[in-house]
Amino acid sequence: MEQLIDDLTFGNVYEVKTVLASVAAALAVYQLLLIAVGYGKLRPRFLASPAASLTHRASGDVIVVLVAIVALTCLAHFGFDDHGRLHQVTGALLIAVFAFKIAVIRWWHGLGRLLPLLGTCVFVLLALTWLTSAGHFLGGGG
Amino acid sequence: MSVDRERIAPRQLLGSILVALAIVAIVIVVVVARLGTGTGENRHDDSGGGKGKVEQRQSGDDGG
Repeated sequence: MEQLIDDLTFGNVYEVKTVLASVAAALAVYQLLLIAVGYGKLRPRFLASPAASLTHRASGDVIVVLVAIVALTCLAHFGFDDHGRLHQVTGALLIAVFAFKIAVIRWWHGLGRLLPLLGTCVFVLLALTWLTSAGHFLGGGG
Repeated sequence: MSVDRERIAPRQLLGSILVALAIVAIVIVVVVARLGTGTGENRHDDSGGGKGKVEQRQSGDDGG
């Protein structure tokens, strides 16, 4: 698996992971704006609630795919070593909360009132996971 | 959050999706450019830095 990832990324695992995670983080910020419009907290003239909600769902699906790829790359290539403990914890929590949120959206509609809280948790965890890895890497932290 | 598909304005939907695509494109360009400037390159470098090696070689030339 590690060799496959190395081949797919041409040996640039860190760089590819950084780009994908950064795209996911940027889309997550956009998600906040979209869902604020979706719930009617923001009311711009050029975007109505239904369109914002649908784009939020579509963009969320993209983020799920990106996060899944980055997480699999992390686990397969780096595993659970002693470095970056905070990154590992926030990443694992992100996957767990993400899975729970998807389950609420798809099946457990009775828990729909939790979606704003779950969405906020996903955003915070995604931001922390990005900051402790890609953000640190881009900042020259190594 | 329910999505009423009948009331969705196609232009608004297209516009919001294009904004998402633009964000993706901009982030890719910015991050790749940032990586291209050398940030993070030393992450794979276990040699302790190339500058020291060059200086060492130069001092060796002087001695010869």
